[in-house]
Amino acid sequence: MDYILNHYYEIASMILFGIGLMGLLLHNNLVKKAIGLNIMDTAVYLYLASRGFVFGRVAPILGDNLSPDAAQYINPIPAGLVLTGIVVSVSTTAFFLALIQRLYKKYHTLNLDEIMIKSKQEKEGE
Amino acid sequence: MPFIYNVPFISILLMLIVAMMTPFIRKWGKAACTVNLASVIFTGALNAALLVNLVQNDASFTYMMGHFPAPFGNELKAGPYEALIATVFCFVMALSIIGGLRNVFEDVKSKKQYLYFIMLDLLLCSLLALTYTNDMFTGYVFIEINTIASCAIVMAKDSGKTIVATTRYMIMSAIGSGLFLLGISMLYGITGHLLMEPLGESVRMLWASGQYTIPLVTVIGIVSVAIAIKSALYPFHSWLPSAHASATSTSSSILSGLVLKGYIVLLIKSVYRVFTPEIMQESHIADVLLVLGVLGMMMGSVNALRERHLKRMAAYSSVAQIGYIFMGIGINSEIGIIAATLHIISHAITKPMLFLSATGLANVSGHSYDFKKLRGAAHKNKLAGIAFTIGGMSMIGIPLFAGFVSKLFFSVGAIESDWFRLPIVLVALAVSTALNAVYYLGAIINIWRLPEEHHEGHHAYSEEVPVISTPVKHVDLTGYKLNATYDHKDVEKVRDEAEQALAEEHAHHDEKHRNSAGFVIAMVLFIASNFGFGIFYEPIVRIIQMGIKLL
Amino acid sequence: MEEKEKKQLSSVPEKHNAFVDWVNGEERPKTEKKVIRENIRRPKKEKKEDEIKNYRKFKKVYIGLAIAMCCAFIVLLLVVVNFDPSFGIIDAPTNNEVSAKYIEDGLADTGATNVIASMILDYRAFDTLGESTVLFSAVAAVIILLRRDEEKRNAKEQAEFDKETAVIKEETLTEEKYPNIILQVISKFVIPIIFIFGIYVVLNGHLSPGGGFSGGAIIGAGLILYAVSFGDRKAKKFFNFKIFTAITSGALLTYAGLKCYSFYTGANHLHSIISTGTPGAILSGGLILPLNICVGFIVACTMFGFYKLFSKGEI
Repeated sequence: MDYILNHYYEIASMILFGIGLMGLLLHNNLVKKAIGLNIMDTAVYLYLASRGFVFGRVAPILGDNLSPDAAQYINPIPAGLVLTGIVVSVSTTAFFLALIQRLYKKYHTLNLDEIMIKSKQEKEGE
Repeated sequence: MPFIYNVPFISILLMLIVAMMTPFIRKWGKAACTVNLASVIFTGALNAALLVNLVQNDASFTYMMGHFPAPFGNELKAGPYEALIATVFCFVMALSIIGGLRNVFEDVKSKKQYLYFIMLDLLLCSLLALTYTNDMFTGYVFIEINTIASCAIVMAKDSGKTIVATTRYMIMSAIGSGLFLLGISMLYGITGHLLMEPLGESVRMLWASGQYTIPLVTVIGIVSVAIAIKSALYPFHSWLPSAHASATSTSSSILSGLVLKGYIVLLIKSVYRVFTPEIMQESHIADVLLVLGVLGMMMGSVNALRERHLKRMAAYSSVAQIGYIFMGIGINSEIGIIAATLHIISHAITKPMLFLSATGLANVSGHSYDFKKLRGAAHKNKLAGIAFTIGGMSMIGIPLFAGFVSKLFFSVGAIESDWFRLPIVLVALAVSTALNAVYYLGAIINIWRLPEEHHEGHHAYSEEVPVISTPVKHVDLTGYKLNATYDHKDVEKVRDEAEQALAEEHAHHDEKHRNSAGFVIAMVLFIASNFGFGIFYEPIVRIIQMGIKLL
Repeated sequence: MEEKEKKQLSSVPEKHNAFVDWVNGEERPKTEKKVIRENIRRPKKEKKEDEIKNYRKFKKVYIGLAIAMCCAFIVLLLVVVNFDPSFGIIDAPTNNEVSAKYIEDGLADTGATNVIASMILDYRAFDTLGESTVLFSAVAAVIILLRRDEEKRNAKEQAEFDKETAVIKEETLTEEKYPNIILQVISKFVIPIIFIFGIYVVLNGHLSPGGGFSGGAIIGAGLILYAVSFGDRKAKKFFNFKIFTAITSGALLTYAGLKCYSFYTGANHLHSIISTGTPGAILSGGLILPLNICVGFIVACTMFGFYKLFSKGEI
């Protein structure tokens, strides 16, 4: 019980990571794969963000406090890493969705199995 | 600090700025191509100068990106090892672009060509950043740029097969990136650092305390698996053949020769700076990499034997060569890493030559890569044939060629290691060399073999036999006899068309194929560097040894 | 008479028998072309069916392996998580001297009161440069994939292109014939507020939570709302492909140029002329304010570009 009480954010993020990974690998529908990819990345951001929190401290925006004390603010590093990660995840998802749109226009299906079979039957160089 | 020490920063930012400037010059036709090629060559020259300087002084340096030293700000670190790899990357990329330029202009649509060159620039920028970086999170960000740029150069040739191949590549790369980010986050969670040197100290301390064995082994495993997925180690290689075989020739060369190696260089640097070789040994991750590398060597070659498409055969051969490199990392001694690095360099200068010459051969056989249609193609395009032969010999590992050097060092590394590794590595080397010989010699013999009868020969292999059916004008069925009347003019018209079609086919097969100047330059330089590396390998081994001590 | 007929029938040569067969409805007359094609194509067809069977077998093995490995992996991760420091305790390894320095010296070193902004745009600016480049490369890749250009195409592709153009034109005409009156009236109130809020978030990035990324996303959302409610023709008047490339590439070039100066002076230990300004003023924080503005432009244009490329195929 101690384990769950002390680490609930981390446990949740690892389970979400597993769900996202399984979704990415096992779903046949391409859009569901993209959603799985997003869940996987978001789980890692949850994990990172939880690394920075300290009970009893506030966000690191120095208001009028011109001589700050490090013991009053939470850790700013994971927040910056999560910012970068979110933008990277948006870019990857956009690229993946553009690929899906092109595949749909060409093969008229979103099922990866059918697309693989249809593309194997195509003539070389088409 | 001497000015030459600014070179890593200058090369990365120069490629970035050229990439961002290219949309402004997209209206002037081939200007994008010229500017990009010039900047790649210039960057290569800068890195070569840096390499010479560092080797003469036997020094390595760290370069602060910003006003704050590590661990508060970003850093680049450069030594002889990184400078050597960066020079090889720039050199191979320049030659691949020059050699495949004509195919690029044919395959990529004209309004999108400037975007292709932007992607090549971003790819080189991220490869250089992966080589020089001293920070794990910067490594992650540039791995993402690498992924998007390399997917983009696969699908620049617009066809159904390339888009399906890109989708599979994207899915596997996304899994790899996600795992890498998870590994870095977990490492940050238990150590609190992101730069490689402070991370290394913390990891050593944690390992010595003995309480953190499971998380450290897991993290090292996750990071290694992530990089293995992205560089197509054996069980994770399924995306590679379609992606490398369906792309245009410049893209295939760069993907096979450079992109896979960028991640491996990052792994070697992390092994030396963060997860020390001792920890890799005690946690048995090095053994796992060794076993997977050996499996890759065998299964890659077995799959290549079954292929009848020249580029797919070369792509499966890449899987086998990546297995060699991971075997070298798995041997986990200094000689092992030297052998792995030599193999990185020799594969980087041989595989692009194979892909470019394969495209040259296909261009004279009706743009087809099928073995049947390539029979005798080397006689029509002698330069491509010679280059393919030299590339094949080098892959097999014949002395005097580039591939022999790394195999020599793999054997030395095996002999110097313990009794457990020795038989595995030696047997694997022997079996995979034999398998390589079978399929490469088969391909080489096929392209040099003359078809039986020259004129009917190429008709027998084309499926569309031009049969002209004569148009029947009138059928008379009176009295159970078939009376068909033909119009003479129609018959003559059909006969003229038939002769014209046959003459065109003859002309198409018999015309002298003129190689473009870029192709000739690229092939000559690749062949020269192949022989140069195969004969004068001593200085390079010394540079790598010097570099590993300063890594 | 019958014998004469039989004799004539039997004197008919082979190829006419094929004709008689066809007339009797047994077989189509085969030209040479078809015979050769069938002989060559038949083994290939079997080979392709084999490939499909192999692929299905491979899929079954793959699914079993994937489930097993994923479950094992989740269990392993849950075990590893136990070794992490508890959530929210004070003496975790992550609260070390690095984060202490960022909080204590952040204001003095960089002049920004938002410690996170000073961290991502000054201390670890190289990562943010890489991140903006990822956004740029994603936009370029989506343009390669989705943008519909006037190109030389063969007949089949040209037919498809024309069909798509007709569909898009019809959609645009429908939009203009039946405008979204509710959307348009509300947008007239809401869009200016969105833009002002977005600009406020961007400009105040170094003083309060916000910055280029969030502010850019807000401005991008405002642009998308404008394009959705008022139609493409009006949006094209002030935002077309030329402006898009000019703003994106220009902003990224400015970012790279400013950061070049900062990295070069930092690494060579030269004194930089950018001053940090008075804390709390808008024009403070050294280079952080211009960098936030550049990033805001890039993100806003990128978000709008993604929307237009996905829905209409051109910007």
